[in-house]
Amino acid sequence: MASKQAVKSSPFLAVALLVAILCAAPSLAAENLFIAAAANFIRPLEELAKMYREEQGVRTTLSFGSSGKLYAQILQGAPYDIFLSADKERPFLLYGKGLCEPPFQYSAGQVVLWSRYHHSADSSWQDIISEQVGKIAISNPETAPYGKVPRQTLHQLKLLKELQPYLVYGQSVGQTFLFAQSGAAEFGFIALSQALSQEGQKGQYWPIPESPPIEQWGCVIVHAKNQNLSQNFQSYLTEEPAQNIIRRHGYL
Amino acid sequence: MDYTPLVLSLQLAGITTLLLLLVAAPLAYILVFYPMRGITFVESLLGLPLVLPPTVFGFFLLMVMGPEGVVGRLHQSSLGSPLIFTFGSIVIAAMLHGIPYAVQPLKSIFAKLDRRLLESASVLGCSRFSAFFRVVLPNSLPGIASAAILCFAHTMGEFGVILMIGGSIPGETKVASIAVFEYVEAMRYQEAWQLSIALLLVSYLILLAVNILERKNHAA
Amino acid sequence: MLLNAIITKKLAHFDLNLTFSCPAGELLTLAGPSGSGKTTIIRILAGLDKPDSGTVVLGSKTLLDSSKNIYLEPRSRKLGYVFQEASLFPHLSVYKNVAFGCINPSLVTPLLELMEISHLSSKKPAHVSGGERQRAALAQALASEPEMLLLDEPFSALDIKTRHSLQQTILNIKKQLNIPIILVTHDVQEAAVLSDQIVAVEDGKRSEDWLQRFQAIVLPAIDRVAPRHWLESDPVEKLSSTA
Repeated sequence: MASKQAVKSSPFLAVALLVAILCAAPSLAAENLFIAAAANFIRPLEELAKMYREEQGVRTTLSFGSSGKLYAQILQGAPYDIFLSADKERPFLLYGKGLCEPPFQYSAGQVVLWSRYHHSADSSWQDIISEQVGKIAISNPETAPYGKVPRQTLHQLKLLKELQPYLVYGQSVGQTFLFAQSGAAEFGFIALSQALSQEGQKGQYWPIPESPPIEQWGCVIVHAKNQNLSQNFQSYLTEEPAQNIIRRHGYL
Repeated sequence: MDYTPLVLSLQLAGITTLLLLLVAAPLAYILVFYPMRGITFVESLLGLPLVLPPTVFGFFLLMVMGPEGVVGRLHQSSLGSPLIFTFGSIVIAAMLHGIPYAVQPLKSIFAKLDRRLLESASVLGCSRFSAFFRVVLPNSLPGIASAAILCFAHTMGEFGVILMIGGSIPGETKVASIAVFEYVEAMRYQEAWQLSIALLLVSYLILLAVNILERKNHAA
Repeated sequence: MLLNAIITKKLAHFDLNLTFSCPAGELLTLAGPSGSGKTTIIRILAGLDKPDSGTVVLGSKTLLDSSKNIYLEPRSRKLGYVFQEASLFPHLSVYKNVAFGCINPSLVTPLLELMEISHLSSKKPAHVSGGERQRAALAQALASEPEMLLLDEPFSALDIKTRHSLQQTILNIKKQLNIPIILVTHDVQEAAVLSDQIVAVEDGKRSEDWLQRFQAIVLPAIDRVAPRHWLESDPVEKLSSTA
């Protein structure tokens, strides 16, 4: 009898728990800023979100992905309040469609060449890469600005043709870093912010002066649940204290 | 419209299915007819790809098949070239991921075989090895065909694992599912549509073939 | 060539415990009610089951000796085994079935003729009658040139006329084969007609009690179902000599 009761009560418990969780979820979301950001911006944004919560008492939910994916999701009505893209193009495309407020620039990233393996530190990135024996990881140039810019640089320096067979493509700069960090690829074109991270410091990086900085723009989504809060975060992000943190993470 | 990814997917699915059956059929034969001590542990291990998220699976594979991993190092030292980011590496990944999809149907087919046929074969002087080819395989052909089609279909739809380890190299590891994903990201919706519809048609034809086969099996 | 068998095995409801021997050219019947352990014995002879302890010696060849840890795989025992049904391979023609375990392919055609199934050689087992299937199964067993023939209720699923004709075939080839033949049956008439020796088995043991009851049924039964003229020897004599 007792065992029968136990069997009966356990699904009941599970259902009760589920109901409790479901009820709790919307109340969490009420005073919440929902931010969709490019994957390269994870570390600074996590720090900024923590600070923002401590200073302003507003919670944030962070969603990371490639700018292309987030963009497509916003087109389909994803409930983000703020979009922090890794490029300039996509926020303006959204603006053109009337889906967001005027875009703003919040940072500029830099591409560097990175390897976990030891190479001469004095040589330039061009010398280093022309001696490669393994694969070179690069983010998908069509979807990720951190892939597009170095690819253009390789093209301008007439290195692309020679190196093309060795390129492997990460879906985001995060995956590109994983390829290089795991040793699956000998080199990776990654963001300076990644090279300065704890994992990145285990390897070596070379600046690429020929590559222009990658302007990262963001925008407040028009149908944001909380326009005031979103505008407030936008100004917070562009002011000096926040900008200092962003710079510390390897952005310009 | 670039159909290379679709062709690559078909190639991957075909080769994976073939190799997978070669591995899975003897495995299923042993599991069904000659289960040894501790076989439950092996069976549970073989079922893991059904349960593990493809991302987890892919992450492990990347670590193992990379130049720093055990398998990658072995490949490099024996064949002189790296394994990861090659067509071979996604074949291996798809095979490992597909094992339960091949072993399970084969097991259920073999379990349906009349054991007396195997006993009869053994009394008539057949070894276990030759009984597999002379008795088990010929009497399981329709079932093997549906197992093959399932494997093929599963591999055509393989995404997460290949996304993790493939590196999206055109003509090498950029299969149709990855290409669709990238088209969408790149806002090339037109091409995404075309490739998606091509995949849809192929998938439908495969399912149609499975159902026709099943119907025939029931009739027989 | 003489078969000597001592077998003990613990089964679910009783212990199997039996000793018997059968010389070449003779047929020994294991008779008894169903569930008495007959089929287990014949499977142990074939090597398809293992006893807890025992010995099976065929001529000079030890097939099994638990004390010396000898166990010969079925495929090394050189046996013919005819199952109750379904021992033919459904994917092969009758001819290929008969030739399956055959070392000497020239045997196949004469065996098909002997069993009167030559005209069926290209047919699949599913397309021939039950009696023809069992004839083919017998030919298949004999084609491997066995040193012992095991028949596990081979004719019990057949109608009476077919059964009689197959029994006649067995009688015809028994002497010629000159190997021990072990038959499992619960058909008293069949046992009486074919056997040189009957071992009545009940609950895994030789049962004198059951043998007497068996005789009481068999003696009148033989007159009723089996006309004397196709019996090779007098079954009454046979039964009393083994009792």
